[in-house]
Amino acid sequence: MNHREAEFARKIARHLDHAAADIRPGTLYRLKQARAAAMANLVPASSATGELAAADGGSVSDGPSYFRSAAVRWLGVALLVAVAGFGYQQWRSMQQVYEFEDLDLHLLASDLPIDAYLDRGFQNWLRNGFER
Amino acid sequence: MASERVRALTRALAVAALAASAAHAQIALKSPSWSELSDHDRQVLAPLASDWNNLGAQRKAKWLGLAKRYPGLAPDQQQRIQGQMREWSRLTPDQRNAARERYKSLKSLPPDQKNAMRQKWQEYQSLPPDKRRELSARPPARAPGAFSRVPPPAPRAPGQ
Repeated sequence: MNHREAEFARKIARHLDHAAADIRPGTLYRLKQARAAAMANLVPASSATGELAAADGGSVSDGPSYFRSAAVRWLGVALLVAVAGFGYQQWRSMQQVYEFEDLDLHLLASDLPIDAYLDRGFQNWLRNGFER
Repeated sequence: MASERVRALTRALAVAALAASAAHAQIALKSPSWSELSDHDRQVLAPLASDWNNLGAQRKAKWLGLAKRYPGLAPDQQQRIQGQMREWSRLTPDQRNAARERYKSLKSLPPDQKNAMRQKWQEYQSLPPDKRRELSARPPARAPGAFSRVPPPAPRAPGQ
């Protein structure tokens, strides 16, 4: 702000002060109410900085709060991915337990002994038409 | 404001997912010792008593599931299961998987061939030991695990 601009601002302030003295009580009351509401909604400085930084896509001057919030967000995402992966692995493992349970139950209860399923000679014998 | 909400939501989701997965893991990894089993489970799984505490959580879960279904089986099936339990448990994982694959391929055979398999096994057992050894030494001609179809019986001479 140069000297002329400062002078102009001072003149405006003087006129405003002068006019403020003539404001009617009702108008003054409404102005006070509006100011109080504006002050109540005032965002804390640190949070405002973070939001502005996030809004414009981030830059070197974004400040520590932006990095903190971004780190928390990425940490959350990474945690979710890890938990989802772990959960999927557990689910697959349980599925395999159920599959084996059913298969083994029927296999062990079947007419054939275990050896019949494992004996390669038996497989070859069946395949070659029961050669003697 | 919106960013605050996103952050709070992310944190809440992460905590909830972590708690859920921890609870699930507790259930999935439960590995009871032999003395912790119920009387019923101990009775059904008696052939595994000496090996039980060395089994992994996954295999214990499988055997406990099997024990739960055991009362619904016919007495001869129950007997066969108990008779083979220990031998099955002592196979290597590869052997168990190979047997499962062959069982699956056997299930896909026509019912008459499936029913004839027990008799074929007995016939095979009556072969001379040298012959069986020789058959076992041959490489598997098809995919391992495949139960081959039983060839149709030779045509009988008229009048027989």
